[in-house]
Amino acid sequence: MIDIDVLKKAQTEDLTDKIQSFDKLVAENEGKIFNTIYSFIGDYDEAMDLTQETFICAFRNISKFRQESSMSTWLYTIAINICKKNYKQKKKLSSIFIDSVDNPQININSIEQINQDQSIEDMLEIDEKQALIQQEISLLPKKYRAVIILKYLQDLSYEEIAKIVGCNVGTVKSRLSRAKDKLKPKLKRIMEIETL
Amino acid sequence: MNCQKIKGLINIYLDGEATSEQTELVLSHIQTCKECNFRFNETQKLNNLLTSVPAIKHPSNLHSSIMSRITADSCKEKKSFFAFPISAWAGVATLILVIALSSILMFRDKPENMSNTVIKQSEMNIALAKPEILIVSPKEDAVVDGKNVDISAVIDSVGTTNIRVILDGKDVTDATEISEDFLIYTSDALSDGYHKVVINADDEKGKPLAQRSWKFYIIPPERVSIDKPSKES
Repeated sequence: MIDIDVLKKAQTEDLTDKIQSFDKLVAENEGKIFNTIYSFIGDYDEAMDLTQETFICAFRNISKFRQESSMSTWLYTIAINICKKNYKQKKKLSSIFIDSVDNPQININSIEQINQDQSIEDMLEIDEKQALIQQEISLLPKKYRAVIILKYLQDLSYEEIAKIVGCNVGTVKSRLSRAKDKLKPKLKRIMEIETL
Repeated sequence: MNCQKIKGLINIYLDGEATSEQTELVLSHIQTCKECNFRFNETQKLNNLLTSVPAIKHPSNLHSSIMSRITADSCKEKKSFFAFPISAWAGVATLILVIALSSILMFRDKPENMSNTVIKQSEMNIALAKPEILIVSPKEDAVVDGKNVDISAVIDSVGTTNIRVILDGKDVTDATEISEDFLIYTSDALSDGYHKVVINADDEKGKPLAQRSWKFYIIPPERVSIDKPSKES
C-alpha cells in the first residue's frame, strides 16, 4: 500500500523529492503493471517499453491524481489505455505494412524465465500450458482481454475493473461471461488434462 | 429460477462477488439441475486454470530503465525551458504587443466589426474542432535519439480531403504515406535540436478544418545525463 507521504512528495514541485518518491511507487507497482501489459500484448520486449511509457505518463500526470481510486487502479487505467493506443497504432500501421496485429504471438522464450527452479520436463509441460492459456487470452477481442487479465491474472474486483476500463459493473460481468464462453472451447483440452 | 440467470450467478459466485442470497440460489439450483451443475464445474475448472497462470518475471533492469527515462525526461524539460534564448522571448513579447496595438487601432471606431469577427472566429473554432488529429509519434516534446524519425498521426478524416505535412517549414506531404485516417512520414537524417511538425487538414475547397503542430527534440544519447540530474537542470 502506498504511503500517503510518499504520494504527497511525488506530487511536489521539488524535482529531487518527486523522483525519489516516485521511485517507490515504481518499485511497488512495476511487476503487476508489466504483467498486465505483457498479457495484453503478448510481447516481452514491447511490454517493457509500454511499462516504461505507463510510468512516464503517470509521472507527468501525478499532480492530477486525486486519490479517488487507489494508485494501482490509476496505473492499471493508464496501462490499459496505453495498450489500447498501441494496438490502434499497430492496426493503422498494419494497413500500410500488411502486418497483422490481431493475432499476437506469445513469445514462449520469455515464459521460460518464470520457472527456473523446475526440471526441464516439468518446465516444458508447464510452459506449454501457460503459453497456450496466454495465447488464447491474447487472441480475445481487446475489451474481453482486458477484463480477463484484470480479474484472473491480477485478481481485481468487479468494481476496480469497472473503474479501470471505464464501464459499469454490469458490463464487466457480461464481458467476463462472454470472454469465458469464448475461452472454454479453446482451453477444453487443458481443462480435461487438469482434472485427470 | 431459470438456468440462464443461474449461469450469470455461477460466474459471480465463483468470482467471489455473490451476496449470501445469490450464493444460496446457486448452490441449491446446482443440486437439482444437472446441466447447471455441469456448467458450474466447467466454469470452476476454467477459473482455476486462468488464476493458475503465474506472473511473468519482469526484466531485472525494468526499474532502472523507468527511472532513467523519467530522470532524463525531467532534466530535458527543465533544460529546454531555460535554454530558450532571451532574444526569442523578446521577439514573442514584441509580436504580442504589435498584434494587440493593431487590434485596438483597427476596431476602435467599429465595434460592429469586432462582434462580426468574434462570431467568425467562434465559427472557425467550431469548424476546427473537427476532424481531430492525434499525434502518434514522436510524442510532443519527446526526446528522440535517432536521426531518422517516424512521424505519424491518426486523423479522424470525416470531410477531410486534403492533408498537408510540414516538417521544419518544408512540405513533406508527397513523401508521406497517407491512408484513410493515418499518416506516416520517415524523415531523412535530422540534425540535433528541436524540430517542428505541422499537419493541416483542409476540406476540398481548401478551407482549414484542423491543424496540429508539435515539436520533438533530437539529442545524442550521451548528452542526456541521467546520473546527475541537478547539473543538467
